[in-house]
Amino acid sequence: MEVDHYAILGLPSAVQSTKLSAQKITKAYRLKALELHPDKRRHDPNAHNKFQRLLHSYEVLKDTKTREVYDVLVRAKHENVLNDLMYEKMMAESQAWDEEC
Amino acid sequence: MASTAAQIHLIRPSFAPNPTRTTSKSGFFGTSVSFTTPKSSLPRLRKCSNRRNHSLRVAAEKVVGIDLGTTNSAVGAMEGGKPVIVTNAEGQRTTPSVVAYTKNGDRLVGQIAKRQAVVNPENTFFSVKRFIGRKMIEVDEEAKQVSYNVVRDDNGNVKLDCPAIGKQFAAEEISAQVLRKLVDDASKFLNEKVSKAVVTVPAYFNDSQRTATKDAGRIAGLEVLRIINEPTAASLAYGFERKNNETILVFDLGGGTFDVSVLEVGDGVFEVLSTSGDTHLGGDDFDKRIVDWLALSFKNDEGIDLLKDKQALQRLTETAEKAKMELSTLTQANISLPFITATADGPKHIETTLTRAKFEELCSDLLDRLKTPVQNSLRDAKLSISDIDEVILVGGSTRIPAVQGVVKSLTGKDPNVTVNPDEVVALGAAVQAGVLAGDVSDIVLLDVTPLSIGLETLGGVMTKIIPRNTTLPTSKSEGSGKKQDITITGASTLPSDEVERMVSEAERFSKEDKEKRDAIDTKNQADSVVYQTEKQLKELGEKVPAEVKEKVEAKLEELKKAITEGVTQVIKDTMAALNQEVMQLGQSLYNQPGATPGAGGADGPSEASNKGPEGDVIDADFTDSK
Repeated sequence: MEVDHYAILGLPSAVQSTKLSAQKITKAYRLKALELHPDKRRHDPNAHNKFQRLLHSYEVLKDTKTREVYDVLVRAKHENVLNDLMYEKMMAESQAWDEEC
Repeated sequence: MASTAAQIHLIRPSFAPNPTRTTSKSGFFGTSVSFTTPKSSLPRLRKCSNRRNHSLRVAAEKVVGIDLGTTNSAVGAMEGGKPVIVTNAEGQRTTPSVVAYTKNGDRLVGQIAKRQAVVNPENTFFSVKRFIGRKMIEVDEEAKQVSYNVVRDDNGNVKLDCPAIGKQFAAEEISAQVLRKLVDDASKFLNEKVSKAVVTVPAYFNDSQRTATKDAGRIAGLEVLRIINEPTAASLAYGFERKNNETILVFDLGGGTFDVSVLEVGDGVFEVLSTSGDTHLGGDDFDKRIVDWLALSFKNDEGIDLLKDKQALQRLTETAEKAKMELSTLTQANISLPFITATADGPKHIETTLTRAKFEELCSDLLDRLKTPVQNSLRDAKLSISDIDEVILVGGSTRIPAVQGVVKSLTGKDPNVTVNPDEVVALGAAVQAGVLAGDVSDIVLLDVTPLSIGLETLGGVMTKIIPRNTTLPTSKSEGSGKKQDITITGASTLPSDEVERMVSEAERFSKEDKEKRDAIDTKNQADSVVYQTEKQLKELGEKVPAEVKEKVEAKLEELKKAITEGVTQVIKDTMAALNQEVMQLGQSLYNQPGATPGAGGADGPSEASNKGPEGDVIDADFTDSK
């Protein structure tokens, strides 16, 4: 759960994006692909890695099955974050909590 | 050195030079005249010197796209934001991928090589693409089908034997000759130096075939910026000006290979979903069926095996190709081969008719072999045929009605006929060349190399990398119909030191070529100068002061002598000396009281030297723009 695949495609991160249609995902990916393709960044030594990352994220989100799994994780993380915030609020004196996952 | 080329470019900056003008330069090579022009046309040079500054420009280097085909090749370039086909020196839009060596060691490339194939079958190399980057054991069948000798070298690699010059060539070297011609012609057409290219290969080419193609480029002195897949290139040309989302299937049946690719196109992103194919299937195989049919019936009738006679085989092959093409538009083709061979009874002829139905029957198994790759590519793309929006036909062999019939029955669609199957790959390569040159910004290509195991990644982008020693899924194996024991070592390509040797050899040959052409051009120019000067002297007659006339005549004799002796540099020097005298002659006429200015001889020979048979100053552009 380290990588925010939606953000890599240039989409708003996390929960809002889990509602996006497959077409929207593809469109976002293509826009990013036009921007990040190594042919467009001939002088960027990291272009290749950046593009591989984009491809990987798109592969996760393109396949309905992997996207489903990922979305569940996103929501869970989101809930965790909310829970954490509430907990932190309650335990205002203790701020040293890390995220669980 | 005000070059015509540069001037034209200045006046019509956005137009490609008129191809017919390029045509007139056929057989005229590169920079040769740039050395002769300044010496032999001093008066003109002086006249034009004020224009020179304007015509100087920084030559933007053009990246071209090259479709290096099994039977024909084509070159494309971006002009005014659009991909266009570059015509060759003969004015044709495609160039036969044929190289020949004549008995006296001359090298011929393209149409001229193809034309003499019948009389020189052992030294005429065609369909070389079938051998590039291959081991001998992989191409046993192909080796039997060609009229030249294919031999195995010590490493098991393919070598092509050329008895005319007593040399064995690697397929890379022959392909390099074709590439060299394509690029030379392109730089003439475009009036720009061309040293970089995108070259296409069948999608089903493996790593050694790709590496070997790149090596061919290097031997030709060309920097191959990218190797891209032919069906992918076709999709680039097709989708270049379309912005809507489409899933397309490219059906590419060329001279020697068969590729099917499924792509998703939209928003300028061209993404290959799957590729399948057969590297041993193409138009050549259809020709071969006709050849075998003709040879078999001749054997039955006359008891002679024509396939053993290289010259007869070459004639059969050419006729078969012609008949096949005719059957794309007609329902029957007449085959007439007079004097195909001779026996004790006298000459023998072939006179017969081939119907389209018979042709289709002869090729039925080839037609069947078209089906599996289409089905495989759809399955690999996880699509069904109803998901395909367009079917694009690429390659000359897709003109065969039965092939179109197979496509239609497989896809249930009428194929798209908006693209020219012979040109679309080169146009697409030009688009990719434009992307790499920065001329095209709204398109990117995402391709996969189906058999690549991570060595060559197209554009540095590969979605799936198959680790070394991993068994490839069987689905991939069925497509090519052969065992997928692909090695990563690239052993069927040339060792790099050998490539280096070939590069320097090619450079040496190209230098010799240039010298040869320079010699011919210089001689022609000198002949013309002699003629013009004599004519001027005769016309002017008594008007010429005797001592001036004497000097001119002396130089004239010297030049004539130099022409007979044939030493290029001496001819050039003598010609320059003569021009000096002719200038003096013009000057003396001008200074004469009552002489008409301009009627003098000064313009004569020097103009002639600029308008010699081929001696236009156009090629000065090469030195000018560097």
